Amino acid sequence: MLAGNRPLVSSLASAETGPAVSPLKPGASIASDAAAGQWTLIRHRFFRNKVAAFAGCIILLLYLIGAFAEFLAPGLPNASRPQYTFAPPQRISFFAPGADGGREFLPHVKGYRIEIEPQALRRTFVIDENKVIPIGFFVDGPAYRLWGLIPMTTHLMGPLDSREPMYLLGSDRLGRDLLSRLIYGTRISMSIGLAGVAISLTLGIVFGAISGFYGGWVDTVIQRVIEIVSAMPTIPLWLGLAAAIPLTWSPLSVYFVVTLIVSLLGWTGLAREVRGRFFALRGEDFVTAARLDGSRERRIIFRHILPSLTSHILAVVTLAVPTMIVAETSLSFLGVGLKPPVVSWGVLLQDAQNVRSVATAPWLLIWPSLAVVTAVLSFNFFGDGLRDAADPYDS
Amino acid sequence: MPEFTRRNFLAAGTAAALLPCFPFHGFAAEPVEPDVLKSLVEAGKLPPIAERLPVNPMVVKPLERIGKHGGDWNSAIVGGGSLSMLFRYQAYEPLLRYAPDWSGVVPNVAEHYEGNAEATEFTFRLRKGMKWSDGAPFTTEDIMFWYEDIFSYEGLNDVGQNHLMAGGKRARFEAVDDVTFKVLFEKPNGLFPLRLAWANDDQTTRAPKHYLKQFHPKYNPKAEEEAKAKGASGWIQLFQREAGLVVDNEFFQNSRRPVIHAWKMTVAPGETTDRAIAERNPYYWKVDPEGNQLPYLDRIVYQMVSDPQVLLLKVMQGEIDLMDQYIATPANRAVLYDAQQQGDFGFYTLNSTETNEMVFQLNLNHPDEAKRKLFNNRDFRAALSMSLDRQAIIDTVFIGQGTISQPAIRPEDPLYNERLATQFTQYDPDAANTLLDTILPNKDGEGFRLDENGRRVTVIFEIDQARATFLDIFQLALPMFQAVGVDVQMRTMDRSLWEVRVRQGIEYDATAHRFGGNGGIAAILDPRYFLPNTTEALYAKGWQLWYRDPSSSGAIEPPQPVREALALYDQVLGSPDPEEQKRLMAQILESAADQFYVFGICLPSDSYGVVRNDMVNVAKTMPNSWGYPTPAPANPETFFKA
Repeated sequence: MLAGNRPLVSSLASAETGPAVSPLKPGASIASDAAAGQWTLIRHRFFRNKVAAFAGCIILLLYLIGAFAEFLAPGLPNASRPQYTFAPPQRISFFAPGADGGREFLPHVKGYRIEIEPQALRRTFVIDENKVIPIGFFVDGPAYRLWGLIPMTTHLMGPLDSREPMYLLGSDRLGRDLLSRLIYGTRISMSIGLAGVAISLTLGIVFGAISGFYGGWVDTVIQRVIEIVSAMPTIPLWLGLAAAIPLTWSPLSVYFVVTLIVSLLGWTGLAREVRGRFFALRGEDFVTAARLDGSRERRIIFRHILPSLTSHILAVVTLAVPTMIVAETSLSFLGVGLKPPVVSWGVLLQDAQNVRSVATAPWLLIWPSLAVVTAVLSFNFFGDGLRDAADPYDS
Repeated sequence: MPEFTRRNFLAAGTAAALLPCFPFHGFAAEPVEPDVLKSLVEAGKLPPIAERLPVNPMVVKPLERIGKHGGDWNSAIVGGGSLSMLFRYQAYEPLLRYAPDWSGVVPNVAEHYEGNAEATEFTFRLRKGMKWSDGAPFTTEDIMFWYEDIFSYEGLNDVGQNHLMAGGKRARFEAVDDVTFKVLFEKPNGLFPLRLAWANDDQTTRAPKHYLKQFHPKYNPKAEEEAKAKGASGWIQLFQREAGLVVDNEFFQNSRRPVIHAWKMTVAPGETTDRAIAERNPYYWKVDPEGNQLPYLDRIVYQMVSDPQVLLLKVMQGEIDLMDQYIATPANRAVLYDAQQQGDFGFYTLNSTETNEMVFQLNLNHPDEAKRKLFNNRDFRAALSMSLDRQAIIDTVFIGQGTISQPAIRPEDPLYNERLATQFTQYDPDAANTLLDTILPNKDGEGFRLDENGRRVTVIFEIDQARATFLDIFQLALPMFQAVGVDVQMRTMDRSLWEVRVRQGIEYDATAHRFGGNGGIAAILDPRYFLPNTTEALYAKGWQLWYRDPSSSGAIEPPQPVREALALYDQVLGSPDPEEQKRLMAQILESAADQFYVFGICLPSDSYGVVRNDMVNVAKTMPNSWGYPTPAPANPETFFKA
């Protein structure tokens, strides 16, 4: 659409001496942009935005972490060690006293000295400076199946002797490694909830576009349906779902189904917005031009009008994703949210929301929060960058 | 265990029933008016103290020293939840109450009682001149009102009151005069005095006739119309709401109904959203040995707190005077320990009276044929039990503080049954696998065992998500079960959903719970894990229904050994002789060891409560039980602030 609609701007912009309306900054390759298609233009502009590109890399990284969680985590997420409940984080050191008295290169963490205080009912940990636990890359650790299929024992990183404790981010109240849990949590938090977002998005765009483009009775019907759907009380619906879903389903599939159902209700807001934009745009010259060119309706909707809304839709998506991550556990009270023993960021955060953790084991709150904040910020910057890149009207 | 003398429970309890007994002497002085009431008396709004007290007020000896009147007791209620915990603080006044050490019962509202040798007839004598909190006299007329017009009235109050049942028949009440009445049973009810004192079971002292009769059609022909005019569906609904005998919350949400308790609600929970207030009852019928009318503290102020974490913070700041509900978990101990200075509080010990930290209960009456057969196989339960590494669980969840045990009587109790307590507690996955290989030889590709129909054997434990300890134990136990090839899973849910699915439903595979007696009075009154005698026996609700009424829907006839155990328990209930009761209980425990209905983790360790350093007369150790109900028998009316 852009290529067809605004060729003038593009060609003008390609000249360094062009007017100030140029969306391209000096230095862009004239030859490539002059004949570039819409997506190429977006890509070029996107990568010029350093923050957005960086955020994009982080998101990619998070998905890679999620994909290879089993290999990247030093341990298993639910492996508990009684003697290391609430163990504080260890620091990695690179040099240790060698056998000859000097210092030698030996990446390691320090062990703990543990005392039990029966009066206070807790273990106290002191980092034992003399106890060196050598660590390394590609070490043998607890057995796992990569993607549930390939049996492996190699972990990216870990103590050379897998019986020794290594808690780089500390451990939780059952003596489980927070780092491993965080890595495993990435997989669930970055995937399951997002399916729902995708469905809401598709429904919202399709129905909003149809409603706005055709108007008339189609619009009336769709808008009334939207009103009925929005009027549906959600809590009783979830209560009903909680009762209807068989208990034999695993918590993960229950959550997946519930997000899907929630998304079937959640598309209405976006549909209204899209419809409004369609009303405004369908009388524009470029739409008329496309129609006179003989474009079919589907092509007009999806190739001509919709791309002008990209920026808006991206903004909606980037806001929906973090909401979904944080909301993972919000339905737990009905028995349909994510709950232990499932490991996700939301579950980790919920575990940490008590005075005991905040007062005596702050790492349980800090690291999962950091993970969520990182993901949310990355999505926001990424979406922002995409929107700017996709917006044909910026100056 | 400290001085909690379980071994003497029954002897003391029954002796108290047979002997005229009045535990406290030494009240000679003139009664002393609390300061806050003096102006009311002088203004003529309240009769002088001598007219408000009964002829023979109950004399309560404070634990440490005589106190002074005045001050607020700062407490809290979490959420909109259950108000039954208020019985613990301000509303435990049955005819007979438990002695502070739970060694038996002592007279309370009844100044004297005796039972006949067959335990079929019990005579109670009330305190002459005793009054409700509005000044109306409390007499046998109120007792008979409760008996005739509530307990025996068609359509009213058909829940609970099991202590008034013997041999399947209800007790009969007879008033002799204004202060004397008899309770008559057709069959012996030897445990009657002990059961009468159980938490809020005794309703006879909670039904003021002069107030409630206006809602009752027997006394007010227009009761039905008036109830409908007030928006109730009929007089029964309004009456039950006004009386508050069916739903605990309603008892405390009504500040108009007079009571005989030390404090009465003046701002009831629900009237305002931020707090509830109970003020001293000017007609309270207890005094200390120097004649000071009790209670010492003028008011109990309950802050309404949204969740336990908020309450924890308030306790740490020293805003709460005494608290063990909601917050006294093992995990919070360290936080509270560090905050002692800042909040100016200390700890008291709550001696556990429960059988186990957590009891795994498979549904032996499961509607699914295959599962029922499997769960009823004792070897299957034994194998699951042996697949648990209990020491690892204790080390993790209870920081190593706890003794491995199945749900059983504690070792120091004379009823201790070693087999019941220790069988299948050793961590032995090989033995578990051997047993399981005989029962469930086939496995699927993931190593999980298959039942005879080729389905994967899945056992889903349904758990109330508020029980943090259970969730922690399960997160450790699930991999242990799975290691021997049994696909055990956990589903956590909100308490209300759990109540519907497990308490009221029958289609669950399994659940976990605690409570149930572990010795002495508690074990005999609540032996839920030694035989399915109450609805609390979640492992065999069908059998339990059969025990209550073989013709009821859902009743399932238990196998022969279980029927024998239930018959033995009938004999315990009917026996007036404590030695005989013990002998019969021992047989029941032996049968429980044979049956191995349920399995557990460890003996519950003692819990704790938090008390501000300026609260005086709070016992340093108390039994921890709902039946007791902590701390009520330790006389909260004698607590005061130094």
